[in-house]
Amino acid sequence: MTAATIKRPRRSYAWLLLVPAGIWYLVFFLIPSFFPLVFSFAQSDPTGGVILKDFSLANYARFLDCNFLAWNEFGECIYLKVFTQTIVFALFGTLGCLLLAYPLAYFLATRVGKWRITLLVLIIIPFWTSFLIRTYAWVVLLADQGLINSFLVNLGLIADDARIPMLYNPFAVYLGIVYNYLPLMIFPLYVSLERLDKSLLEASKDLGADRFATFRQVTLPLTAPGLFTGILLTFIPLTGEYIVPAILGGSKTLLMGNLVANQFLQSRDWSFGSASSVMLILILVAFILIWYRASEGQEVEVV
Amino acid sequence: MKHNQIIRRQRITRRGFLYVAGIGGSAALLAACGGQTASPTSAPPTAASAGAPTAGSAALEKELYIYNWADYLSQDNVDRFSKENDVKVTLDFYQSNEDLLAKIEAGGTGYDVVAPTGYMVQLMADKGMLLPLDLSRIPNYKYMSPPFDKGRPHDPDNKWSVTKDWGTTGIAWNTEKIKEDVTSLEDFWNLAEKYSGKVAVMDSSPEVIGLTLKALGYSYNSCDPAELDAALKKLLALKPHLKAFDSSYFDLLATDEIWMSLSWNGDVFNANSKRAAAGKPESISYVIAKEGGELWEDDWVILKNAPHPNAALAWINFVLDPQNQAKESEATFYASGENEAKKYMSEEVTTNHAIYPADEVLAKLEAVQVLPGDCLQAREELWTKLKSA
Repeated sequence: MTAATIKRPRRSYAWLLLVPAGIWYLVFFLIPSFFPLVFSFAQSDPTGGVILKDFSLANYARFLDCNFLAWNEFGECIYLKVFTQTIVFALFGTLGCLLLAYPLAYFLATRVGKWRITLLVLIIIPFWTSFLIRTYAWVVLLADQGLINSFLVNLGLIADDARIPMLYNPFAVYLGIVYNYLPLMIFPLYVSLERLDKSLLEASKDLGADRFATFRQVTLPLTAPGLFTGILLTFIPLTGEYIVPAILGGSKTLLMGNLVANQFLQSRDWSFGSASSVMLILILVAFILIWYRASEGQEVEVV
Repeated sequence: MKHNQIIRRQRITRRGFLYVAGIGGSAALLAACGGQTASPTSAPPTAASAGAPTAGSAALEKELYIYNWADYLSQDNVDRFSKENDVKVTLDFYQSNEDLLAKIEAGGTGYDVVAPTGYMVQLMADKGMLLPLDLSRIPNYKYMSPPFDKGRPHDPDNKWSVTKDWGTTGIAWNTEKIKEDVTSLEDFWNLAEKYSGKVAVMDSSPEVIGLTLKALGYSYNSCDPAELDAALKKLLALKPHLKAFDSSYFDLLATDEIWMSLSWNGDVFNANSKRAAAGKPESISYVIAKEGGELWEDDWVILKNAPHPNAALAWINFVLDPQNQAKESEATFYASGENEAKKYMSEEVTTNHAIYPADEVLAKLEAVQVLPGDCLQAREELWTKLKSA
């Protein structure tokens, strides 16, 4: 009885807490998302902009078109190919971050003791510098005439005309990606590893599990939420990434980010550019939903 | 060095800026910041009353807002114009034609004079953004020489624009590293194979596709599907030898990362001045391929809503004075549309074939046209196929 009287006023004001974020999402997310959605069905004005008539699915058809008739010449799924390459790129980038971040986070959470905070701050410090500057710094390091090659030449380890090509290739791109996105993976993993109840590990040991079995059956499932968050935080921005491949990869590949930018700036095809970005958003939403379901399943199984 | 003599250029070139601007979307941000210095909000009423200024009503306004590429003016000219006419000149900068278009389209900028590239002049005129030029109030227009005096493809009747300066697209290479003679695009393709991994092109599809079409003997502005397919094949053969698609290729030339690139003429001066600063020989040379190439021009135009149209006309007339044109070319290292102006330039500029190509070379160049939508789409698909291959 008394509990109910206390609850009632709480409920009626609680929705106010949603107002600031709600307005934010409405003005800066929902309304702006509405424009590309409408544009994607409209006609492009060749001088830039769109003509809001003759709405059709033509832009989506073009995005999905594979031109089978001319398959042997240059017929191919032009845009689906870019899309696939973007997803593969994002998957490899995420995997690279994961492989480096998990051991590091594990180490930080379990083996460091009082140095923990210092080390965490050290991970963050490079990110006080702008993303662009940090990425350009790799150019200075990796170029043929760059610091690493020049150093090796000066030491006499390699010949002047046999400098190691480290820049403008996939190696440089993934290096830049892992470097820039690593903290997004480390921190969620660190948090879940740090909260891991150590007595569970001891229990596992007492019950006769070896280290590998303990990791696979106890540590990994219990840190799954952190793992899922880290993967999501890395994968999603990576699908829109195009700066690192441009600077460190010499623009020799094309990702969805470049494709959309080209449509708006070079071919002045706003409606197709909009359709391309809507496609990307749709696939990402599908990915997140599946991912969310999977992570829910994980938690239920463990707890 | 029979193709050109090499001189220094201290400034970053107008087109070099494109690269940095495109990346990170900093362009819009910079434009937005810059706009604040040049945003008189009382623009529309003045513009309406001065929509068709006549010779009689030529009292100059006290201010002039010029929106231009960075480092693309003679400061001396600006200062003298300002002093002689008692007009306060404010400069602001954009990094690409598309930036400029977006900014003007958003409206209420308060700018008077801008300097777009030819194709963009046509687009802006079609969109009703420009004020027709009253040539009777630009008497110095009479110095303009062919082909800039009339019949320019983007503005055949001189209704909207006058030539600010012009330049070309060709091949830049390091004469220290590449001893072979480079005279043609065919040479470029052959040498790219020989010096594989030491070659770049700009990350800009109109130029790269246009020059490839030229190498095949087609028009720079071709929209023919078969010709575009041939161009794609030729580019796919070139791609494995490219170090990068990079519009800062002049930096790569300056540091010996690459030895050869497709190039805009002005960038050669940029690369050489950077080499000089680093104590390297200024060995970057430039040639317009004998198959031909691009002739581009940037124009002075006045915006329809210009708050100070009289000062804008006065500025254009002032800068078209041959002596002032000479100052412009000396400062920017781009060629003037007035032959008369060459009399006042140093020989270093006028005899430099990277700035003033020989007449027979000039005849083979093509201007970039505003391509129809389906052609832009076909070219964009070509570029996508090339990049994702």
